[in-house]
Amino acid sequence: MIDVGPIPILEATGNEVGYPIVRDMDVFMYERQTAGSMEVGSYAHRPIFHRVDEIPSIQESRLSPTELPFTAEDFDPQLEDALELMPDLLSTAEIKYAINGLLSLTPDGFPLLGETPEVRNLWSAAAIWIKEGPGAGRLLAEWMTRGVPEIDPHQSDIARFYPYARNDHHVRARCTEHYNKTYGIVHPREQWASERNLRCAPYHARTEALGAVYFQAGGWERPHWYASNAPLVEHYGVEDRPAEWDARWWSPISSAEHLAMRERVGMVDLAPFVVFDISGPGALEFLQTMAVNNCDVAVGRSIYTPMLDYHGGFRTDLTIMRLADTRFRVVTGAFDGPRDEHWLRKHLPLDGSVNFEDRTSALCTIGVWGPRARDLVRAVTDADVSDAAFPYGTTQEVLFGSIPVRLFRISYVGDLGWEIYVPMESGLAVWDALWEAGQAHGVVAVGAGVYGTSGRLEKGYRLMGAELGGEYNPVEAGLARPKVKAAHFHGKEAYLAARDEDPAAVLCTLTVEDHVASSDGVKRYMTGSEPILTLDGERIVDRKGRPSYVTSAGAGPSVERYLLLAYLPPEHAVVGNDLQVMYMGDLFPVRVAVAGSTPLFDPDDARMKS
Amino acid sequence: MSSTAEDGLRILVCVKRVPAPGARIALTADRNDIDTRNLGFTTSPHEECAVEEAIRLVEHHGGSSTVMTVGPPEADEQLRYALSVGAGGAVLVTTEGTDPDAQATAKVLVAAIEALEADGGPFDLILFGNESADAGGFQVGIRTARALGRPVVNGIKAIEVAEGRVVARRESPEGYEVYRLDLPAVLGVKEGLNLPRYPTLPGRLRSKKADVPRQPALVVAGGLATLDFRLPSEQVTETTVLGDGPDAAAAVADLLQELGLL
Repeated sequence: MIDVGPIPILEATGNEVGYPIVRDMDVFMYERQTAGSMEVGSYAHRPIFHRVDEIPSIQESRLSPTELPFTAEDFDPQLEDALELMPDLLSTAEIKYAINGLLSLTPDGFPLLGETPEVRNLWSAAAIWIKEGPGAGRLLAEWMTRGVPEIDPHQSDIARFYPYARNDHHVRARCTEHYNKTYGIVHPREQWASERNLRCAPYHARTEALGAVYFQAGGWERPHWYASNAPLVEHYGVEDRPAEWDARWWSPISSAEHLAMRERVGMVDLAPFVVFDISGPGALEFLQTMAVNNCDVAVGRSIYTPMLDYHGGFRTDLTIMRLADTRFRVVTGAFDGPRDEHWLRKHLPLDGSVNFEDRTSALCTIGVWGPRARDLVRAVTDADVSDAAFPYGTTQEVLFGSIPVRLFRISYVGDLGWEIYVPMESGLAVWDALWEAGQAHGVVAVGAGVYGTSGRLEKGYRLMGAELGGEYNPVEAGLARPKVKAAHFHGKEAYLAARDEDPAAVLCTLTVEDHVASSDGVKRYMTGSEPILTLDGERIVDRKGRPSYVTSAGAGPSVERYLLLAYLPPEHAVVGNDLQVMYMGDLFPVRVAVAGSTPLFDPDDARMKS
Repeated sequence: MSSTAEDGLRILVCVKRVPAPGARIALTADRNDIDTRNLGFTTSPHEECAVEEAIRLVEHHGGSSTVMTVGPPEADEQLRYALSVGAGGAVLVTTEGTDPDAQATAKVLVAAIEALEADGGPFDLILFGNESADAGGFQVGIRTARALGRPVVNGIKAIEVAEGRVVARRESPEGYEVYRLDLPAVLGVKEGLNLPRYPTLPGRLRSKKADVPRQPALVVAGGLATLDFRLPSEQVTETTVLGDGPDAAAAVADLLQELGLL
């Protein structure tokens, strides 16, 4: 960056900052007043890497370790852009200071905050840029002293990285890719181009042959939709999205797969599932301490449960199967694995009574859901998979031919079916067996666009990191059970207190009532994070000061509505209440369809419990 | 001698590309050079003042200013900086390998100056920095002037040109020493001669597009060669812990007494 001055109009403000910063996104530059000068910075040039251990010391630096020598050849192409934008201000003032400012970059662009997973009580406050400094300092201080910060830190948690992401090669590759996106306009669903195919399911070649379009989840290549399903779009008459931005990283095929799954049966690649086996004489007591819901269930049954932080906010939500008296299987999402592992390991008893085993790379998971899922599973196993012998929420180990697999009758998409846990080396054989047997039942490969978005949203299922985080509690999220277990668990006091008071917000499902933008007549489809407003256009803020915004957005093909999830204060969380969502500067009418956790699709769960 | 009244002044400024280190200079592993991986490059403050003075003299008297260096191809950066603040032209005489010593540098410069003067006539004034920022030999300007047969004064902090002469002032403990030299002449100037300007954005853009001719140097070895670099031993500050908490009181009192503060 260069510092250009003096500039009289800036000097006249008498302030360090008297004018707003200008971000010139088209040319990746900024212009920022610094007292009487204009700082002109560029993110358009190549990333210039300095390994942490090669950064000069304070003594060896001409100015300081973060003010490295200016490389004019990297900046010069931007001079004309700056002059074009501000010719009057920048044509006569002098360049008095020019440096290559040192920035801390991480593979995903977020800071490194929190307790390190490697060393207990070693805390990190790294990769923080100047403007985030005060907030990060406060957040970390709260985290260290109260155990929980006020603002949910999961995106910046230093514990969020898998081993594949914790090395120089990955850091350099990802930082090379995202440096120029610092001022880029990044789509919410945008995928990385570098560091792909690092983690692949054993049947990856099969999904690839089906034309899978992969999104990365926890480093895994996970099919998001399949090009081979394109004919279903016409069959079901799925509309495309006319605005390029809304259609980016999306396909109408996804909604067509959804409808085919609801009609027949879908196979879903769930290899990215994170699986921890927790065993030993202290396993039950340990999990009881961690989980809100009662884990002391019969062997073969399962528990869906939030885990709360010490102050009653969500730390994670996950599913636990009881495999034996002293053996449990914990399954969590690909985006939460390392953080959940850190949280669980941090609380393991030190007496050796609990064994913690990460099985993620040993097991792959295939989901089969749809009204014909039982027919499909029956075709590959002799086990009795009738509802009586294999009721909803239970798990059994069975044989697919000679391959031992664990079936878990559960659903995140709201249809009859199973998660099938398979030894990694047998994954291909099981995929092939299911696919072959499925042909007679109209099986369709279904991507994570259905699993994670459209199927989930029709059922109103909450997602950690979207609806669930440290800033909300289970009562507000609609996840409080009628009874509270006797055993102690983290966050119990706060949870009990939350149950005793009226919730400040209620998680609702809203439907978009009209997609046509008033500004240009084009149909628009929200991507998430948009503000929910009253019909008067006023912001909605609950009594705890939290504004209402879209936590998840996506199609609901079976309910023929576009669905949004959002926390609303109780006075707005009324079924039928009309509100608005602001997207790309336009206001769109939305209506509260569900207040709470009742699914919009199949509210009695009859399909998945059939 | 050219006519200052009619054609203005023809001025040459000689500069040297040098690293811009911090307080501690790092050496390469073989100690044959300064480790410049994290260093920028610059010219000495004396030379920045020489360039500024040439620009001002031309602004006042008319004429032309040219900046020249003997150095590696990368010294193009320093010449373009001089162009960006207003120097009229630049010439890069490229060398390879290690820095030539003062004797060799002066020989190369003299040959290059004679070639430039054969084309464009003699320079009225050749300005050097008082000494280079790295080697600090104080020799190149004087050797060059001597070879060209022109008068030279070092340590100059004020320059006036009038009627075919230059009046140069040098600070002395009592005030100024004043030198009057017939043109053409050579001066070694010191920081403080003026306050150099910084480049403007249009100036930088102009300098990027300017033609900086390069000519290889025919370097004849000088009398000095660099064998290796050694860092002076650093002063180590020793800290003595006098104690912890109230137990330290007696030792603190003793020390204050020893220092005569009690």
